[in-house]
Amino acid sequence: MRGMMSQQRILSLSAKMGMSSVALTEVNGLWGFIRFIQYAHDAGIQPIAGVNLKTGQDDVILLAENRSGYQNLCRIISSVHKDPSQSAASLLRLWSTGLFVLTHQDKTLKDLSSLISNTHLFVELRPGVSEQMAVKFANEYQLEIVATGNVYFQRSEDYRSHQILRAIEGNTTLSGLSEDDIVDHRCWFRSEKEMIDLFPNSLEAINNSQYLADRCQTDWSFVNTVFPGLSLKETHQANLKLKQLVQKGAEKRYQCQYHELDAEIKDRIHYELELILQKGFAPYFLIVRDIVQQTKSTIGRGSAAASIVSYCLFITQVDPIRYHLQFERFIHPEREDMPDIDVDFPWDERDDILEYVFDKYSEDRTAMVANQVFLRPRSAVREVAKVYGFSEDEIKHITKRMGYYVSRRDLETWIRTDSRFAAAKLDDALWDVIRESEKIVGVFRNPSVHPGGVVIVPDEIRKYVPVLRAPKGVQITEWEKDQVEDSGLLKIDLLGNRSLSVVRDTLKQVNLNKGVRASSSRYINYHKIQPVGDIKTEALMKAGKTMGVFYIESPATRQLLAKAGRVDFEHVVIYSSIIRPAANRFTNIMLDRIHGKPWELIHPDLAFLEESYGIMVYEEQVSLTARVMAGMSYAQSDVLRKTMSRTSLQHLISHWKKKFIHGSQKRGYEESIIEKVWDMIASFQGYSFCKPHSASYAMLSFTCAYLKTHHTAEFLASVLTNQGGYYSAYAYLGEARRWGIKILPPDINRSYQEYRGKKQQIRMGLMSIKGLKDKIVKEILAERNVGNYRSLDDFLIRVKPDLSDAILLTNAGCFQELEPDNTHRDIAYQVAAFCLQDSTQEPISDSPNKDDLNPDEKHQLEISTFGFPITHHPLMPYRSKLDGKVLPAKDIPNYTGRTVRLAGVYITRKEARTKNHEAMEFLTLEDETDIFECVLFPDVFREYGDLIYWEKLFLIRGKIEESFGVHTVTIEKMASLSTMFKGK
Amino acid sequence: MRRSVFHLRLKHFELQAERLMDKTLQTRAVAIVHSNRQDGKIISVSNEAKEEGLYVGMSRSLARQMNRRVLLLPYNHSLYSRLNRYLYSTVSTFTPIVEPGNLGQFYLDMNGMDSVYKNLQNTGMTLARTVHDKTQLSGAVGISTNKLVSHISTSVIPEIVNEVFPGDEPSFLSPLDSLRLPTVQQTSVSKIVRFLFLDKVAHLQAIVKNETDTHVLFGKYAKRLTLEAEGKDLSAVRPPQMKEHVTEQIVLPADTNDQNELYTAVNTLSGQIGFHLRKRNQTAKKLELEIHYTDGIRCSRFGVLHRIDHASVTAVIQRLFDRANIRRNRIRTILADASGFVQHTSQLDLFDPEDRKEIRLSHAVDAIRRKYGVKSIY
Repeated sequence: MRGMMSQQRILSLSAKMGMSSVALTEVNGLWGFIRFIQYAHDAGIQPIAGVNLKTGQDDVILLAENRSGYQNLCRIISSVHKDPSQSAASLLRLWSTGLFVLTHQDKTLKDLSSLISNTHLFVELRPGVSEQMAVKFANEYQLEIVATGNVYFQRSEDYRSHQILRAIEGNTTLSGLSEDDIVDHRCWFRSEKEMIDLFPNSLEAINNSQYLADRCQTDWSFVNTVFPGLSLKETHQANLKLKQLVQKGAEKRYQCQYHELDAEIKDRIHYELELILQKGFAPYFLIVRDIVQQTKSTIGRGSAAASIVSYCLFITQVDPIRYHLQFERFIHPEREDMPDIDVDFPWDERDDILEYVFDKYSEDRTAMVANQVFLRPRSAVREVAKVYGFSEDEIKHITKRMGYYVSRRDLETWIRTDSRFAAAKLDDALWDVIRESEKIVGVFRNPSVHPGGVVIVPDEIRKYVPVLRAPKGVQITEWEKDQVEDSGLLKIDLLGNRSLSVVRDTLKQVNLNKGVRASSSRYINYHKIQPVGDIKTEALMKAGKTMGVFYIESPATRQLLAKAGRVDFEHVVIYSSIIRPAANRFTNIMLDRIHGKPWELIHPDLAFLEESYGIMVYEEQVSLTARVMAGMSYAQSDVLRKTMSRTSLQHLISHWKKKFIHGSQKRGYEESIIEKVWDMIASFQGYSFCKPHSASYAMLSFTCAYLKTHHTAEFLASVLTNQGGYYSAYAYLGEARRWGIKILPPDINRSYQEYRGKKQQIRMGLMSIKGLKDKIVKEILAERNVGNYRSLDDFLIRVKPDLSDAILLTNAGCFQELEPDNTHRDIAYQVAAFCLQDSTQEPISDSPNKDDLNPDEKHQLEISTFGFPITHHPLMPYRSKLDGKVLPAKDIPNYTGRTVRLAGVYITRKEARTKNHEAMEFLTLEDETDIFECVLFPDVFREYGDLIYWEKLFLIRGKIEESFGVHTVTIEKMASLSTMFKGK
Repeated sequence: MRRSVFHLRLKHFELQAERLMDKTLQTRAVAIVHSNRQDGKIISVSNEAKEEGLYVGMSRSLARQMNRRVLLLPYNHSLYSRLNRYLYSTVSTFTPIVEPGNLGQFYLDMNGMDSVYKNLQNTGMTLARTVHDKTQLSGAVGISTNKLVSHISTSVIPEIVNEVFPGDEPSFLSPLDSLRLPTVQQTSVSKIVRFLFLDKVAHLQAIVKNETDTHVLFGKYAKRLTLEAEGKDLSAVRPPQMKEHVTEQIVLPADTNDQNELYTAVNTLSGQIGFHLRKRNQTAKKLELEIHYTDGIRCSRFGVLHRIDHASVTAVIQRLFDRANIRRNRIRTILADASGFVQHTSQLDLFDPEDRKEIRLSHAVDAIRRKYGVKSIY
């Protein structure tokens, strides 16, 4: 949060000004070093590794002379992250080898002159330091002077942005900044001539900077993978062990002796093992297997799912032979870098897994990968507005109109022209905020912890990359996943996945209900479920009734499934891949083709697109196309694939586009075909998946769908327990009701912490009661192990809850079954009397009011206790006023093409953009009879968009449209139900 | 002789006050936000704002999201206080014993005034009319034997004057919501009342008949609640303990968080407070410095003024300002309030004291202020 120039800008300006080398000296970090090397290479500049070390005591520049200097740089930075008050001398006393040191401070020079030879220690002449002072120090300590740019911003007029950044980081205002917080206003980017103008009497110092640059290492290469591995002997043993484990695993997976396996399977295992061993990957596979062994239900994601070795090691769950997954997407003889093996774990077990990894491999060798958070338009506006002193409301007035993931940089033009901002009234001060925000979009803000990336190295992590401790206590690398990957460090993604916990919990409940243990069951076991091909499961998916089902539960995917009507495994794999923002238009083309519209391959050479209706769906199809059409090598096509899917490499797309077009033209392809094919490749921008990944996820989708089909109550109860998925707990309870499942309120003798499902009932767990403390839940369950509670008094005497917990339990209806003859008021009176009464006092009289709660009181009580009503639908209070005026949602299909009125409660929404970049919205609502999908096109969204931010109950008027048998409501008008009937 | 207590309530006092000061607000949808907190609640809404869906108690953030057309005004404490003081002087002409309640509310002890005012209801009507004639503010008057019932009467009865006759108190309160009783608003009491669905005062009246039950359920509040449920209130109408205050407020020309501008304002404020204290030759045992941010949040800090020369006053006020200004938000108003005055004495010094120059400078500045007004120097 100091400089605003991007690395590309620095390098392109340097190249333009004829500079040959540039040293990246971020303050106390190497946050973008790997990216810097790549950009420098593109710009034809020699990159120098360095750091501006600012400790509590000193301000020095360190430059790496060689690899060991780089390693010391990483160690020093890591140490400063740990203790920023250390002196440079104390750090360099430990790690000075291979480092050049520059400083302009007298005391620091004095400390270091006895420690570092004058071949490696220099007086720094930087903007803000006087030439006379530098000469004085040089004479005093017999050192050379080196001039540096100390660049923080491009032009002097950008100084204000630097101040704003410092104020953001310091959580202060512009006028609250002290001199130490900011740099000299002359720290802007200078050409050689401007440096001479600045230091007219120090030409030698300016020349010295070139000499010093020549002495620094600039040929940085990180192509070699740093394995968590071992000596040659150990690698040999690892190879043997891997072979044995794969053989054993294959026997388990295919249910036969190894020698009885199909030749195809054996050949594949042999081929994969040969490559894996040849590349020295065996220890890596063994480590991943070791981690995966720590839990029962995991799922391998990414390209690793294409490997039969991973499958036999139980790292992945999809048989690559059965589902035609190509191993080459994972490891290829030509591939230089090592692809990661990513594994999902049940979300609530992931922390234990990480703890296991850190314990086993120690913190010296292990770190989690960072996320680097950059200022996006929304956060930039927010932060700058805070510096300017705007209130939360004023800030939200603008930022709520900006999507979280908007990546535009032309903020002022955007806000002036985009319809979303039409209603926003901005004064001069806010426009000033917008203009200043525009300048700092893209600046690095802070690191955070990647959800699951772990790096394990063979010796000392601090020599490869600086590490620091994240606020949540875990050690992280400075680099984010892409830089980690590009630096050759081997990353294992151990991600939390709620659906795996859902599967685990569903199976546990089913087995409990059946009275058998999972291990003894022949059927209900994670690794034995065969959901693919199950007719009922496919019927559920065809109907789009997949709420709660992993990965295919969003409204868009549910509609896609219903519209397509084909839900075999191969098709679901396609759908999982094609549902991405940039590929919307291809989804409709594919639907037409699925429904029989004749189509032809775009070119006979692209026959591999046959499997996906001639549409490019998987990442490997991009690589293959590039090889077939443009004649790219494997490595080149792989870089193209990566470039398309990584946000950080978007700037290279035009380069690869040219390369692709040029290559294709050279090989004689028609312009129109090249254009169409590139159009498909371009739809991979942002994010996309490889087929093995989609297959892996589709398998989990099928497993979830299978469980929902055959064990609906148990499945939905587990979804609710794990608080996972796309929808709220209320929405899942609504889904359960649509499946004919009765929702039972929490009960003191029957409820557990979690929701439990059995047959056609879901019993709400004690976790559903808002504000109920974990401690009391544990006490209730522990005491119940002794025996069920026989009466309310029995419960109160045995558990002795405090009044707050007792009120919550009573309001949740936990005692209703214990006291069937008493009204809620009676029970409440009894509970209050017990909790408030002194033991010596007589029992108090009965409640003065014995009436049971009326529906409205019950409704309000449930909302305050659970956050949503459970007995009645939220529309209940309005139903009498709406009767006869609105259509029930279940009748929507009967009114196709007609305009109707509907009432609904908010379930979910998704903002989207039209081709013309106008904002529109997809809205999912529900009434007592069904859930239904609505669309607000730009005109309507402009008028009613704000309503969706605060209201949950709507009255709408819209036209019912039908596409491939699926109905949606195109909203024309909408109103807030609660406001409409308030006080009436 | 029966007791009689009037309660005068100027409904939507803050809104009426704003509209009184700014006539353009008369037909606009306006709401006043009591925004001590970020998510401050609306305390007063115009009918136009009600039609837009806003209501009292709605959070400001929701109101903003719902409707941009409604003007949300921050709580203007100094305006309301000034108007309230004027009202106090007006209603004091009816009886010597007047107790100000919340802003825009007054209790009048009318005991022993029978010879002056023959008919209580007519007197109530005259009171409301007088207030309206003098301030253009509309009010309602509740009449009963005690403060509690009169107060509740003005909050629930729409008529300009309502009298609850002696002995009718329990039946008057019985159908009302329990929350009308002040004790029920205590957190621990309201928790029990809501839990037991004791929605109406009638429910509480049934419980308080049994002393033991009431004690078990409401503990230390049992006695108070019993009295209130039966419409009894033994508290007397007390005139305010008139405390002397020197208050100065600076409304910045434009909202800002620029420290230089803020220090300038603090300096001016110090000059004004110092001027008043030097004029009285008094120090202040209590000095409150209050900052009003643009989002309505207020922060204040307290200090003591032992010396009253400009430099000393400025140093204290600036220190309080630095301690109070803990947010980055822009500031709209800074207010200083001195009270607890003590005669300023200082020992005679045979020699020239070090701060004589400061004192002389302060006196010189004061002379200008006396001649040209307090705010003549910034």
